[in-house]
Amino acid sequence: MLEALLSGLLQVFSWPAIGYLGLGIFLGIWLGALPGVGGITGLILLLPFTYTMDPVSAFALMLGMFAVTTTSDTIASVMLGIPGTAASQATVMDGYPLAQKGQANRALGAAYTCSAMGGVIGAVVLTLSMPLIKPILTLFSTPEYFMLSLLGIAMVGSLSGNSVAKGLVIGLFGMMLGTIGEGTFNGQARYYFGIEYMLNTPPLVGVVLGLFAIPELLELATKNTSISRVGADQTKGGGMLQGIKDVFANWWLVLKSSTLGVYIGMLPGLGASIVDWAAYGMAVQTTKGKTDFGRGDIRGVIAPESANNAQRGGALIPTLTFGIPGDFAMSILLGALLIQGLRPGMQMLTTELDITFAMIWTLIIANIVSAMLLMVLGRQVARAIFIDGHLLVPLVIMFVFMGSWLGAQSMGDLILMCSMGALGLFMKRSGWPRPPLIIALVLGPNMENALVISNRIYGTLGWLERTPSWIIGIIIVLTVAGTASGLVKRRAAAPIPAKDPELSAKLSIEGGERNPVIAIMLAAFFVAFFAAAAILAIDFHPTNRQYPVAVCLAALLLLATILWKDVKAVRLSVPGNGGLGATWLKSMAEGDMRRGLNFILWVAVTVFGCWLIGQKFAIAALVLSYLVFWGKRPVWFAVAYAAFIYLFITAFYDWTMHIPFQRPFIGKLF
Amino acid sequence: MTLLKSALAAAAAATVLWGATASADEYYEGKTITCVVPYAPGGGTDSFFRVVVPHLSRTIPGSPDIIINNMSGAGGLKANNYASNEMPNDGSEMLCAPWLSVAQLTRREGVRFDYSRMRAVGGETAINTAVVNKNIMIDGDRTTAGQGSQPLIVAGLSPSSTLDLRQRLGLDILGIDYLYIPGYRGQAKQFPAFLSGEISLIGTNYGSFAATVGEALVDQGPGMLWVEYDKTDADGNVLPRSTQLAELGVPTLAELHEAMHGSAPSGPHWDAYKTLNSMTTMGLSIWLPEGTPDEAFDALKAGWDALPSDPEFIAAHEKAFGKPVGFVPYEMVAAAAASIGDIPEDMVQFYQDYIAEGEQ
Repeated sequence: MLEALLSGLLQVFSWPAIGYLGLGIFLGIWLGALPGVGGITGLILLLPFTYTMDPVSAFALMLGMFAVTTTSDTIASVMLGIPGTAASQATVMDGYPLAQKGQANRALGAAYTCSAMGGVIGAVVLTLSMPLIKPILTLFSTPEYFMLSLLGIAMVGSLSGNSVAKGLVIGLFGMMLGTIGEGTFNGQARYYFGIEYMLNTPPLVGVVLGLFAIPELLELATKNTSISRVGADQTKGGGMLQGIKDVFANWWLVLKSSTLGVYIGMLPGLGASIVDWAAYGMAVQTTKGKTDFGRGDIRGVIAPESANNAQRGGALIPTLTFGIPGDFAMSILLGALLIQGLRPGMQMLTTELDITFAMIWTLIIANIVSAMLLMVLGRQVARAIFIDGHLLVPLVIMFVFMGSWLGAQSMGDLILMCSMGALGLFMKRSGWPRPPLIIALVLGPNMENALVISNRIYGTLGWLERTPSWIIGIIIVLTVAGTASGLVKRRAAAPIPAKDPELSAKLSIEGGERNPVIAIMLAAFFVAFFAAAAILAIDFHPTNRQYPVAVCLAALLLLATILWKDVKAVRLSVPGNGGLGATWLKSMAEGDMRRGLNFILWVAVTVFGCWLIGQKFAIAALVLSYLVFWGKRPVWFAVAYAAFIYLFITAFYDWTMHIPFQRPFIGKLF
Repeated sequence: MTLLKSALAAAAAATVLWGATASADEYYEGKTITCVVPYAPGGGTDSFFRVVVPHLSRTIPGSPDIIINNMSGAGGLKANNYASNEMPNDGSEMLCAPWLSVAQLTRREGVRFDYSRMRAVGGETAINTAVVNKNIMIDGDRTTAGQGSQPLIVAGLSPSSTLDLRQRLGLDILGIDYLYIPGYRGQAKQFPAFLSGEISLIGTNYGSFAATVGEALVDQGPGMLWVEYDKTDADGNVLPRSTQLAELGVPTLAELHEAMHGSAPSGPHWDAYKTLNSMTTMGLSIWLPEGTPDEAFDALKAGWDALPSDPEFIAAHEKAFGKPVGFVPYEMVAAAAASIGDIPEDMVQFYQDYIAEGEQ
């Protein structure tokens, strides 16, 4: 074993493998930093180049790139409040408020350090856990996957701040989005309406970018500000070194989150999309003493960033030893493994053990080197928070459009992104939490699938007699109890006064705004949505009907309590405002909804433009018009910026990635 | 005079043939072809075409560049709909996909494609088989399936999938009791369930068996290869079986029926099974949209036909999939493609009822 360990290391350090590893790290840093691109896109890009390489070089390139995207994806999460990849969604919660306080360097320093540590811990646990994979796989059957999904959903409470009922409704909304498409148990498509795009569950990337990116871009566009709400000369305690110290001060959290990341990665189907939320939820629930989660608590960065790098190691175990690809990225790696003439299985732990160790060394080296490189570059990157927001918006909006398009390469992706952007705007203004939607969208389809299978094989709820199932059940009960007790304590305790109330008021944070009238409008929308969804479900096949109807009924019950409370609060304020109409107008003005909806309309017109004249021209036109009308920049500057965007889309997405673009409708006329 | 006529005819034929060859040779020179794969990167279909494409690029006259576009969505329907209705018919794009003939035949929701309006270039042979948990039998005797200590639970994808239809028809032909559970989509769901003993029968093909299934479920798990599903032609004749599974001592379904019941299989399930298998003669195949120029078709076909004798491709294929190259003869591809429209309506109704039965 020691011989294979050393042989693996030597192979990684031999030429050309080490060169490919360097290239992989460079590409990974770049691809991870671009919102909506990430590691999977990188794997697709690199796969064809690996055919003629030896296995160690091929995996040095692919794994080297893949391992570090979860380190560099932190940049967009912290700097822009936009998840760089699916694995860094939770980092937004506290990373972005830190950047707004002028402490981006601290957040990035902590993120890079714990990413490297998480990656190394993941690789070590991967090595130690290989003999355990078969017992773990045979212990967990479908009922346990249902219970694990339920556990994930139970964490929704801890991601909902003080609005647990609203968090649950949003979670149920995410679960309903997950029901769109062909039913698991028969060919009937749910909520299909004859639209091909609706034969599938909405792609996560469009939902995430719309929900998180559009509202944050709107902030930058309308508030005429930089990302940082304070000037470069006013930042305190925000250095990279402080971030590194924070990580070492929270070493136990790093260890816990990394281990959680490895084991979530090991279980097929849970994967990268929820690992950061799981670690974040665990940090919120288990941190004792005063916390500032959601408003810039460094532990809210450390937990997800440790876990998402560690998850990469965990996901490799079932792929290498059993050929079970736990997620989409692992499917690509499995394909690469086969093309290399390697077979997943015991030989990866016996005759090919040196190659397995070479992969593990690749993970370790890539994680450490990328963290060091990013720290060197970090100071320059972090300066972007002081740049005028109007200069960042056009570049980021291009990534949002093109990133969403990567979902299913359909106009549906752009419509989805725009719709989620509008929803995200209303949710942000009214204090409805957004994270539960993501976690429920990922886990919902798995949960329904596992529940129906479990009931069919073991009898309705008969599977609860299985020991692993009820053990997870106890953990669920403890999680819910922990959330409830935390909520009671938070409500009973006096609110912690903000150190700098003026700065706090400027921050764009989850649940930071609570416009009750907009909240009622949103609740009314959800009532209509769930009622319509339940009515439409009546015609479904019985197996397809039970789950959506149960979800809708639960949501409608919760919405009744939410509406009762919110309407009561608004009614009290109506006389003071001079009537219902005046209250509504006042709320719209307070929420700056006119400009907000104007921005959404701008995005919607661009979506239409993509259909009419294709993405390249439509997005360039958006950039041009944005800079002239919103950014008040000279026309020559706007034209030059738009031309750069056009060239970037062409060179990167078209020539390099060979992404098929929307065929312009106007082109079909001639 | 006759001699003169013959000479002229031969000269004309030679000119036409030369012209066709010359234009096919030139058609793709300096061009790029997009290979539209209907599933995401990394799966069996994608891996197959990623191995094929660099070699096909070499063997097609004119050596065009070929890029892969993964147009995933709607279980493969999206790319098929695109190929049938929107794909440019100048030979710049081709559909590289499993043949979803059963989806068209059973009028699955979302199907807008019609293979009768498309042209098959060629296809790979499908060797369909199943892996079962040994405990569903007594002492590993295949004829005792369903009588062992473990119930026979079939892991299905969806009742309308070809794989599931074949599995269920096979078990019904043999008269074995089973529980059919759809919803196990992909190896990530099937493998852990099989290893934990939750399910006991997984349908697969020989390529997947050689790549991953054999190692994970047979070498490391409680599985064994159980049966080879018979191949049939468009007229319903049972074709010679694969050598790979014969060498492993795996009986065909017809052989197993003989061993269990002492007679050849017959009846409506057997007829439906044979028709189904004739429609799935090809595993993965290449299709062009209606109206594609003959020069493009000829060039692509020439490139495809050259692959089974190309040493570089043979080596890459065996390295990646652990099995020899097996392509379906073009005559059989064309006959199978043409036969979809000839399947009687009562057979279509049988499939639809059978799918509905699986949905209960």
